Amino acid sequence: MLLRSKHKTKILSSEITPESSYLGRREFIKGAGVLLAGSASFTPHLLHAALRSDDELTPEKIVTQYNNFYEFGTDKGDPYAYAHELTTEPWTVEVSGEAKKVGKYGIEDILKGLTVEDRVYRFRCVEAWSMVVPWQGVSLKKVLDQFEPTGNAKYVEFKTLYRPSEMRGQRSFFSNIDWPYVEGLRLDEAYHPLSLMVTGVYGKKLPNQNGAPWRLMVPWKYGFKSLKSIVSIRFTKKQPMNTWQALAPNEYGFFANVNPEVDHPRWSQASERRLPSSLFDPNRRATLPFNGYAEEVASLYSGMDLRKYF
Amino acid sequence: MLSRKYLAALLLLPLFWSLILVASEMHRPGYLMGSDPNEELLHFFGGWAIRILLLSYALAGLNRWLPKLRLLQSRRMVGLFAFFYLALHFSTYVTLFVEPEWDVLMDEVIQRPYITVGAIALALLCSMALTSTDRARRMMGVYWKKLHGLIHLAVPLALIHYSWALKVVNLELVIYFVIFGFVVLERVTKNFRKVARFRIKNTAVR
Repeated sequence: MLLRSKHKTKILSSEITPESSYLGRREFIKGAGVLLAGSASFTPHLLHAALRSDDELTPEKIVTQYNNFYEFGTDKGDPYAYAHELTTEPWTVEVSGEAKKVGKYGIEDILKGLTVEDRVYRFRCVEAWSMVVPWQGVSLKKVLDQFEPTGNAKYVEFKTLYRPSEMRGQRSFFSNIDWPYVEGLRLDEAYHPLSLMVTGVYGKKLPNQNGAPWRLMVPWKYGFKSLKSIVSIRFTKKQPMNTWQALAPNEYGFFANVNPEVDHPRWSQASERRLPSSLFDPNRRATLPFNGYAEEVASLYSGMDLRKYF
Repeated sequence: MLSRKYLAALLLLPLFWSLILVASEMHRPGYLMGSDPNEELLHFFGGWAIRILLLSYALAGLNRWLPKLRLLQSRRMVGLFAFFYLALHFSTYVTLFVEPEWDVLMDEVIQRPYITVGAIALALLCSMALTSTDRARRMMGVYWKKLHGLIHLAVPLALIHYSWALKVVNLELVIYFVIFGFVVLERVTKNFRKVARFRIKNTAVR
């Protein structure tokens, strides 16, 4: 079998959040702070859910200042420097395609009544660096269910905001990206309990550079799948064409599941630099199949040739 | 005339800056080098290797425009500086990105096209650096010029290495290719100009 997990996590996807929710957010963040301070005592009761013993939170400063959000520029520091130019209120989301309740919705109406949960996820970028991030968000399934997708809906396509006046990367002369940024999921992937619509990070409202007011988070896929600042949700029969696949189909696929055995044509995906990474300790570690969530999600892809559907 | 000493001092600045960068990582991680210092250092040395390599490549042409600066006197030194930063780029790659998985190095060189072309450029420039002494030049005779003519291959390979390492085109890459284009164009037209001058001279004599 192609997918092997050396370390069994033995954690059900349904068990992923409870620790932090019963601890309460304040205590959770405090605990995170202790971890960040490099305290000798690791607090497993806090983080063991879906995490491994060697996973430590990436500092908030790195999470919010080291970003790929090409709408604001291609440098990692550009989103932090320029995302303040974006206004996120009001925020309208257009729902279309194979669903009963299509139309335009204010984001507050979509989120109304949904429970915000804490989720600490590993985040693996296709560029071979990774983080561990404490997100806050709502279940993607609960978001999508409100629009009552029909039996024809097999995929869901998302789009990021296109607003060159406030997103300077979209005005860039050198950009060869066909805006707006598009991503998609198979509906069963979107309905997986791990799939999250993120509205906050580190207990704070999601900063613009991280994709305010809301972004996707599918932790077993490369980061580019988890698009930011979403304004369009479309249910489709056919597999949507996502931005990176359109740009370089031999390098980026639709599924983009983290897979150490399938390299990017130009670089290896076998290992990753976990941030914080320093010159004196690069913090390099082996990349895990499905980013370490194989137990939870591998069954979604049973029988599929993951070399072909990369 | 541009003194070689001043030029050398200028070309040492990136090295000094890199020492400050490394020192800053000891005292205030992330302050100067951002969140991914390994990648930052790799690109820092790689960037300066390419910029100085392009400078050394452009010197002959620049010398024709500004003969008073006597730039050709400095060409060997500039070339060796380019090699120096390239060596730092390569050592950074090996120590921070390959070590301790040494078996990975050969796989990467063979399997990753951008690393393959980078390795070829490195080998070419290494052979040029090793044969850059007057003694080697005398001993090699006509072969010295042939070997060092490989700079016309090494420079585009270095540029291809950089462009293949990127996910999308950026301004820096465009500028490098424009400079490279200018240098090549100048060389090509130089030969035309020579032919033209030759013809004018001959007609005048007649």
